[in-house]
Amino acid sequence: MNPMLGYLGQGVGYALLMLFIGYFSTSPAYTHLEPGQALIRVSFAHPGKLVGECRPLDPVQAARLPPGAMVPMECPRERSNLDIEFDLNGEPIFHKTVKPSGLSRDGAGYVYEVLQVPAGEYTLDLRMRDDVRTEGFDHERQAQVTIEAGRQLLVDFIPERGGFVLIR
Amino acid sequence: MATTLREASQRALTRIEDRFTGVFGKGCNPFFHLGALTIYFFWIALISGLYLFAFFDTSVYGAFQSVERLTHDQWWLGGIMRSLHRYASDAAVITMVLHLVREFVRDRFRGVRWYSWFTGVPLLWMVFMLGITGYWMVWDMLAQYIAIVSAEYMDWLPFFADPIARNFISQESLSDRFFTLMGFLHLIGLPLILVFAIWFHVMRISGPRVNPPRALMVGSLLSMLGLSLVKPAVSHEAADLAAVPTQLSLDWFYLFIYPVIDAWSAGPVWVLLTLGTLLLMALPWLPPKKPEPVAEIDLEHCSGCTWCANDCPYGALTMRPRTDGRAHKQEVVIDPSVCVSCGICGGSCPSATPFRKSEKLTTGIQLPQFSFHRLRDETDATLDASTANSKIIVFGCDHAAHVDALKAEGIAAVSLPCTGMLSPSMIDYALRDQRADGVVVTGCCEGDCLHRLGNTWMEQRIRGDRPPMLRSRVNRDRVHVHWASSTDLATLRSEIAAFGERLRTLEPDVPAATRPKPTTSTAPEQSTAGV
Repeated sequence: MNPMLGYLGQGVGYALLMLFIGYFSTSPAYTHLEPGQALIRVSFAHPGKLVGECRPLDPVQAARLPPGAMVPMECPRERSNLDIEFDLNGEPIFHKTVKPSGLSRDGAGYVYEVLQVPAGEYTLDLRMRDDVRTEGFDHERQAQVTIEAGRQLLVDFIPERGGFVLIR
Repeated sequence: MATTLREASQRALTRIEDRFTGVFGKGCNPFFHLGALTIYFFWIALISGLYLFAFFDTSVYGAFQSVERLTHDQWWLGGIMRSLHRYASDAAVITMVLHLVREFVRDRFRGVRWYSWFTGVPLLWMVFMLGITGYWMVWDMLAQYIAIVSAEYMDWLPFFADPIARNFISQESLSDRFFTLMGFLHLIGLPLILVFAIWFHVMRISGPRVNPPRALMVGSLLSMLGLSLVKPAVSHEAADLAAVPTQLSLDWFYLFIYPVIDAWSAGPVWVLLTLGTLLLMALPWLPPKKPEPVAEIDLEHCSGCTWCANDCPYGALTMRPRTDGRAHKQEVVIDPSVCVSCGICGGSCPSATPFRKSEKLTTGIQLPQFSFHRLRDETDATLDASTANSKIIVFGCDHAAHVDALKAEGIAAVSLPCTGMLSPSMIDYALRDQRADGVVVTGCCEGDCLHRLGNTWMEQRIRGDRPPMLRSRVNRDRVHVHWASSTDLATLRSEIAAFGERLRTLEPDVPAATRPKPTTSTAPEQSTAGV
């Protein structure tokens, strides 16, 4: 092949490589969230109540314990499941039962969920039961929320701040 | 069915490669240097990355701003370095994937070659992880998207009680330590592991080509620089964890899996990637390659010269102290698990000289399925079969242009498992007594020998740069080397025709009567020590 043609061919080859990389390094654009949509992100860690009452040890049981581990009460380790329900404008959008973490199920229950909703104004009902020894939900909150398109509403649970917390 | 498909894809690949050979030349065809090009792009990314890191701020609030300063305030160097870093990384994915596909199509992943294939598969994961962690560090909306989807993807595994994704729910939940971790992974951890993994990948081949030809290096670097100037890499908007990334300019070379995770959710993608990886790793045994007999050593003819061990492209031959009591210091020993039965060792053995008169021509090392004795017999037979006054003999290889198709009046041909198994003395032998007027040596294209180095060693032996050398008495005008792929027969035919024309203009060589007679003694260039 004529050397000049060869160099020209190489130039075309490199130009095609540049074109290929240049295009696919940013294109085609990807739409992760459609216009007009928003997210409700639910994320919190919460330990449920213990599944049973603590009870005092009788003297015989207490005597069996090692000297350094004598305690007056015996408590179950296992914690309650978390039953969570959310309604949006009265329609259920989320229901989940979360088990406590840990081999003995004595840790916190971790919740992470992403819900895609159209942007707009909503009545949001949040309910959670965290004690198997009681009937009904232990924590409830109703809120009027406006979720803008392309934004997220974070639902957290902070007992010190009264339970369910909404963060925009 | 599978064989037909493989052959069809091999033909298609060869045609594409031939086009590139026509443009880039045989020595610089990028298809023949895909592995080396990948490593080269990795070096470009590494060096440009080191520069970027010098200005990078590993904090939640500083990361994005530091990248912006590099991109815009220091566009003339920092911006170019950033673009070069991105585009070289993208180019590395292209060459890496082509390398994988090419080795598959060429059937260079089974048999004893399983190791390089098997150790290459984890490299894919490492390269993609390296690229993905790089995109996290910019901490723009794209990084936010990648971070959250990656975390949700990891959370699918039953190892994490506290979901990793909870680290990205709000700006307050994100700590500087996250960027320190990303910095460590992207700058030290993964590159270091990658370098070791590349070393493992090539450790079972001797003299691996880790650098592409200079012309390709320059061309690739210039094209990446040109692209950096024409289309500088820029960030999305700064990450805002209260907002949701909507429209994203994805780098599809690295981030193609993210839309799939969005569409399918994490579980099916884990299954897909795990099964895909396991399938890739298991390919060398689906089905396993039928093993060929490996080279055999005959210590009676081995002088322990080390030439075969130096020439073996797979490090299958090593030297050890003599065990048979003969005067030589060393003897060669073969590792059958690494030998690919190419026969290159036979071509480098000094005892492989056809001038010996032994009834059964045995050499120090040779393939049992294609012995040196057979090579001499085939050479004799093909030369004797032609009654033409002027004869050219073509020595070729089974994996390149099929030289048997060239056989015609005045053209004899012998096809070998690899051209590298041709002993230079066979060229001398063919020209002796003007049995042939010229010898053509052909085989796989430069840089694309099926057995890696057969054509390279052969060319060096003929040039006199590597033992065993072609004797100086051989008229070099009567020897022509032309490497040709399996689809390049027409070019080879015209090369032979032109060579034939040149031969006609040559003066006759020294008359046969005055030439040394075939002998059992050693030759200066190709000794028969130990015979």
